[in-house]
Amino acid sequence: MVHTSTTGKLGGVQMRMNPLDDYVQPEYPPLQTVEKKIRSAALSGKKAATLGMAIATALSLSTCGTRTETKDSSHLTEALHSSDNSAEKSTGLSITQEETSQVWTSTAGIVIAEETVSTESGLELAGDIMAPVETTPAAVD
Amino acid sequence: MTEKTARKAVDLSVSKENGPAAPTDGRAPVSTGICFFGGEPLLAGNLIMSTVNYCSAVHKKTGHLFFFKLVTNGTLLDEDFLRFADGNRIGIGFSHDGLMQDDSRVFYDGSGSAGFLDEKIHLLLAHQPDAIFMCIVHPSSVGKFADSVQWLFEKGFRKIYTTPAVGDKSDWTDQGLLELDEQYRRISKLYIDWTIRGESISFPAFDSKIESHILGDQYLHRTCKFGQKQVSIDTDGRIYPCLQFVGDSEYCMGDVFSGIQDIQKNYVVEQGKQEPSVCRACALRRRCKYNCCCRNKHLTGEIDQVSPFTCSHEQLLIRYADEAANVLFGIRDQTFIRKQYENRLRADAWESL
Repeated sequence: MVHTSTTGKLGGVQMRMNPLDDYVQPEYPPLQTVEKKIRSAALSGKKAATLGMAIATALSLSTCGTRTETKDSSHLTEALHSSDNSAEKSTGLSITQEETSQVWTSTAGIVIAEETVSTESGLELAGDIMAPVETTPAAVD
Repeated sequence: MTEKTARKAVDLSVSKENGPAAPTDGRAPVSTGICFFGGEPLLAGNLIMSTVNYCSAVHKKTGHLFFFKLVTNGTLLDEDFLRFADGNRIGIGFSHDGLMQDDSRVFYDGSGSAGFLDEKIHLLLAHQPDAIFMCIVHPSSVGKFADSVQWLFEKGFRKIYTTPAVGDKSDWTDQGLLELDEQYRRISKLYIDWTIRGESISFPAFDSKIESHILGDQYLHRTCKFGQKQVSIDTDGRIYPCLQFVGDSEYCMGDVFSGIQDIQKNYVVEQGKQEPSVCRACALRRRCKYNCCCRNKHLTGEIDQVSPFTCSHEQLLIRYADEAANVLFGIRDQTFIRKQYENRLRADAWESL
């Protein structure tokens, strides 16, 4: 399907359509595809000591990272590979980032405005910082 | 904003009845994110500190968690405030346009601010190496965009948020967009180089587009959900769904003194569900911000109308983000795999098991 609107001019920019006729799906796979491969490998009895190694296998990598498993992912490792309990101690994600991510994606934020914003820049940027996951620079966008 | 209004906003965020953070199942909310913005919020530095201290008192009393962010132009950043920010985990977003700074951000007398802020950049990074750098690209200086991103990286920033300026003062032309295209092409190469070097770089303009493909339908749930996931509070305490709508009575959802009013909130939420009809058949629909009410309102005056600039810009981002990701996946770059797959698989799979 393509974007059909080729008309209109706003803000000095002509709608530059239609580039989507030749839109090609990216070569890098969706997460769901990778996950299916890992689960499929696990079900067929192929063992991987860590999640990183399971991903490496799924993506046909010789290695995939050198980090050990985090505590959180030990559940996944066990479920996927059920063979051993080799999950190691956490060395991975930053606690600050992890907590911040959880907060900003799972709860509502309150924006306290010192002034009524009048600049377009401030609007989008504040949005960005409010919604880092979407990173939605976008006020939220 | 008065201290009373600020505290009422905090109280409302803790409320399980009519606060913006209250879960729909009646449970009390467990955490609140607060972002201070302006204007320049550090003009009211004392209010910020008293509000944060008030949150600490609420936390000690109830266990409710608070997280803070602040967006500043940096002119009033100093050692004292940064120490306070460090102690209270206030994440700082530094609004600065890199090598384009003096083209767009000048002092009242017309002099550039870049030189003055250089020292502030070093001060901020010394305290917060993971500080967010927020850069606006104006059509008049778009030719310096890629160089600015590189300059920011060399300064030490690893979280670089960029967005094009929009509005009455920013008239993007076809020629400007062509230059923007070239700049994103160059940034795409920088993104590849840095990733291959193992740098932990956050460049949401591309990251979010890569994420949109990798997450598929899940990505749709990570938008702001107009009026539902976050709100903006004006200086007088009135509540709006987004910064863009502050002061627009049609979208006022209540105030911090009486809480969010269901009728008004429902109206806002329904408004936010409207989408530009022109985008319904687009192949990029699921990867695009065509339905950002804020951006649409700002560029077209209507929340359900998308502007040609948004359409063109989104296409640029998706094209160059995909080009970079294809290269990185093609060589099975470990940093890329870890960032885009391994870390997500940990969280997502863990949640599902």
